[in-house]
Amino acid sequence: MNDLDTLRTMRADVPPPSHDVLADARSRLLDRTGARSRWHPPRLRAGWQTAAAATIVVVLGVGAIVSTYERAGGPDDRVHASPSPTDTAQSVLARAAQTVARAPSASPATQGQYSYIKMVYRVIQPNVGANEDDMIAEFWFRIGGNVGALGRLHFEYETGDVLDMVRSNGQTVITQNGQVVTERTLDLPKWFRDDPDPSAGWLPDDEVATAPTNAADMLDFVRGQFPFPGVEFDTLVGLLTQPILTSQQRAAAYEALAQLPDLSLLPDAVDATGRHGVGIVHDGPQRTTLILDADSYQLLGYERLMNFDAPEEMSDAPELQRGSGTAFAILDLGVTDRVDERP
Amino acid sequence: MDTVAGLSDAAEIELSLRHPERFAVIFDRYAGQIHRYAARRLGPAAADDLVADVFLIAFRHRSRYDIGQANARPWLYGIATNLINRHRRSEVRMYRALARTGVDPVMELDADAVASAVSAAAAGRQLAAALAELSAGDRHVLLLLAWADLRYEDIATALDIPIGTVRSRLHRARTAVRAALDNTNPLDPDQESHR
Repeated sequence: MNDLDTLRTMRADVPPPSHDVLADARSRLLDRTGARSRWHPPRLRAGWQTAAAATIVVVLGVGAIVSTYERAGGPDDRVHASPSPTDTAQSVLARAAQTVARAPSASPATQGQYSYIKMVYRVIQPNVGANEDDMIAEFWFRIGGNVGALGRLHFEYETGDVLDMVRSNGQTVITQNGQVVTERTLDLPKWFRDDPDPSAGWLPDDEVATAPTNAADMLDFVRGQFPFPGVEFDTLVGLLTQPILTSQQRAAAYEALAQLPDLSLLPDAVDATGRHGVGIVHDGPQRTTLILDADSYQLLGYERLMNFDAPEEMSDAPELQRGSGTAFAILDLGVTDRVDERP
Repeated sequence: MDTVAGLSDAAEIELSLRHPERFAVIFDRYAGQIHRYAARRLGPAAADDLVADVFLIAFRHRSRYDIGQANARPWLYGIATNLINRHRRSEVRMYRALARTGVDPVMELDADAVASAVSAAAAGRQLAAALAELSAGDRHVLLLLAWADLRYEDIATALDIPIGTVRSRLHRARTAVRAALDNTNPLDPDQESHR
């Protein structure tokens, strides 16, 4: 018996998974696929243009970049620095890395504190005119684990109606115009009902803490997180939105982005709230645009759109058509001592 | 044959872009073996959670799946390895505990079984000591070969590394294991033929 044969006998009798374990895992998967209930933004009145909104899996993560994060309220008409005609995506990212490296890191968050995120999330489906499906989401994530996380989804309708959904400690409270309403009348998204959960790709904060501070190691780090080709750009964007990333780690992430192929520069990019910035575009099966403030190079948001023509048989799926996708814009973020507290 | 029956994994994943629920076919094909692999590395309790996360992540990233890869096993084992990597400290602690005590924390043994397990575990203790000392990258390659039964090229795909790196990591890992078992000359060439 050689070494491999011996190794193959080690733990060969490990107990198989129980039926319940696999059934539970399969159920979680089916919930996420939308096979059970495809979630749409709640309709409060006929005529509200929410037609055919896709199942929403919030792809956020957002982080405490600096305490001066801009509160956005609408289109931003400030005069911004613009990239020069000779700029490229790589040169802008290099400048971004230099700029953020000089910025002070936020004070390290301690266990028991909360990272706070407020963002606008938008479903983009040009063929059904669903751009109005904006949702404001706020989350508080407990440092050191998701226990105690609190999530709030907030809708402001054209009619002036306001709908709030708050999820905390396994309980959901929904109010419409300040009055508590029953959950049964609304179909809450599963990812919100279980626990406020940013995404399946959200990295634990102890893992983020180990992110390197140079570009080469940073690329290895993100490739280690999701070890299949082509996801480096999205993984780095996700990392940039993590709360506890230091200035040096953030700079390394920008430098790592600059080393990826298929990048181009969008000198004037607009985020989901109308703020202008500089866009770093990555073309793949999806076109992802990272939007940075042209002065501070803070992350304003990003947009991910389908970048290929779906097969004919998928023509009735609006979320799969070229130009469809999602966008989010970060409104505010930071670290708080309590849930429901804002920086 | 790439699948038990019906469409290839790649075709099912492509179909799941239009019909997301079809991704359950991929789960049904591979959840059991992914769980077994994770359980051997981290124990059954950790594997229970991990197997669900593997398929949730796979589902989320399915639009980027390389349709040219008919078989999804390497892809899924790659995701599983990434998640296992987050538990690497506790994995190493368990190997060290096994090496020290002869009792494997991963195996759920009853009291009567412990004594015989301990006496039979001499090789296991040596292996555990060797596994604890390997780098995470070398350990992944070795155990994907030995416990997941992946081929070299599948391991390369799973870990997104060149096949030459698979060979070099494997050589290093097996040298360490052989030295620990002390039953072969560690300078002997690999006995395992290329698979």
